[in-house]
Amino acid sequence: MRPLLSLEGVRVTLGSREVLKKIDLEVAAGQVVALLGPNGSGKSTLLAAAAGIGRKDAGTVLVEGDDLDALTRREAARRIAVVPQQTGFMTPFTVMETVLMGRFPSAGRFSRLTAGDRRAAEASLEAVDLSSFGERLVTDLSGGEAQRVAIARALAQQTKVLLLDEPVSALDPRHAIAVFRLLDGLRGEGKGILVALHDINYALRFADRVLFLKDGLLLEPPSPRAVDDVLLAEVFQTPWSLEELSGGFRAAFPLV
Amino acid sequence: MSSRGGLALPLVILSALLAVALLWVITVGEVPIPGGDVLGVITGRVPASDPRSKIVLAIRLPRALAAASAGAVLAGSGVIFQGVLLNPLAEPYTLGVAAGAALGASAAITLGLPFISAFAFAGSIAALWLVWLLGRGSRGRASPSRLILAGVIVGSILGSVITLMEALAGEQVGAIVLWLLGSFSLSTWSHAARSTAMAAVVLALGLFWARDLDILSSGADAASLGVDERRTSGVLLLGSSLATAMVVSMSGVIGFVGLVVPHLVRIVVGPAHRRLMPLSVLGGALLLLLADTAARSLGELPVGVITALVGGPLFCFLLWRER
Repeated sequence: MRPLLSLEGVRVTLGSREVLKKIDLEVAAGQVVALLGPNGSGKSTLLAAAAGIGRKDAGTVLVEGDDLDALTRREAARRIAVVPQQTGFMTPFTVMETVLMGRFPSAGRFSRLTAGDRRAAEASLEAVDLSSFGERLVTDLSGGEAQRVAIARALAQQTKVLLLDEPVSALDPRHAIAVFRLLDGLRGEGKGILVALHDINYALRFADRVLFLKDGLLLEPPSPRAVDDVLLAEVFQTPWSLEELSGGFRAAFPLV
Repeated sequence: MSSRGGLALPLVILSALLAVALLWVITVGEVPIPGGDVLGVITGRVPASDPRSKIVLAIRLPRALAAASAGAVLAGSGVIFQGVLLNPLAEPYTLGVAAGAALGASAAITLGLPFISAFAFAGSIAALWLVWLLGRGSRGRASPSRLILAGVIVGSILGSVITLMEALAGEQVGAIVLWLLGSFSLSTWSHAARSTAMAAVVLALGLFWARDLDILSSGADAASLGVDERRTSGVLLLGSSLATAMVVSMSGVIGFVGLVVPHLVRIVVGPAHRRLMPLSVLGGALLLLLADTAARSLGELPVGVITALVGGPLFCFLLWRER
């Protein structure tokens, strides 16, 4: 089966630094792929290049088999949704107005948003546990609430591919786990999900595949089970311990 | 605090106010003409040879239309600049775009060149480009405070160049004041027609790209929501600069309309451009029409003095309120 998203030989240079050297990556339907790596390793750069909204100096990105560079921005936004690391909300739109922006790429320029668009927005808000927040102003939200609004907006785009840049960095554990359960559900709907994370434990627990970005190249262990302290120490340059928990789960933590 | 009314009611109220104001300001002047007579002139009941007819048709009506449509252009351009540049303080005046247009226009006039509006447009684009170069942050997007700082500095430099140029050219002081503070005292039907056309252009830009402007102004990564940022911003900035330049080349630089009107409208209907744009255009028309009438009644003051006197304190209040 053809992957939903594939990157072939993607290279990105920022200033004099070659941030991504040669990235080959495929995300299939029904996969949650976690992207891990130290600060500044290029996770955001990779996601931006994969979404077609960032710099890309060489290589190709294919979405559902089509060259991303050949699509219009609107067409691309109907296929790939992005949850940014920083929500950047600056203007007092309501939460509902903001989530409805996720419907703009598929709405006609002049046609009014339909009841269907509104339902999609409401369902997205419900999915991030913000149903009662529709009329609140995005500029009045806490960091975690704002992050969930950004997730809802991306869900409202109803794309096959979802790229998330540290979507749980501002969330408490309950809401972070809710987001991963949500991704679980989206996996069941056949979406392809690439999510940059800081927390290795969420990746080990919820991802189908775990990728490490180091020195501009991707490392992929054969399976999340194959992630071990040696690999983590190599990637993060600090010693790690991995403990087996009951129920077959594992917990990773840096040794101090 | 999200009381967001619909579009229809404020649209009807503002349109009615504008219509009444248009009629009323034509009655005001050295020769008072009752509203009934004004309507009589417009409907043709008063003969064309009547002096009242001449005053209304040749002087007051074109001037009122020129002022109103200029206000519409300035407020509409303010909405577009604020949305695209993600900056609540952006408007033709604070960005130096109006000053650039005025410099282009006065250079053309001083040197006796034709196509004054084209020079005004070139001046406005050059100023916008310069302000953008100085004001943009390191990551491509403009940093709000830098942009306005750059705009104010570029604007005041260009203003002094205009003063210098006209002083050296031996023009009367009045001509300089026209460029720096604006006036509609010389408005003709041709002016009224041109700035009405520009108001239509600005309104059309704002409505056609209303959703893109929503996304751009929200602070989101616009490209990921389907906005071709470079192209859309380019068209919107060029279009509103052109409209501003046309208006400035006819009536000079008028500040605060593009700043105060969109802010007031946002308080009532929120930041969505589908509502913000048409209401700001109407509100700008109403404000500048009344400001020009005040200027006219006070012995031909420059209208920019009135808009600054009214708009400046009002804007201070808005700043204080939004702390």
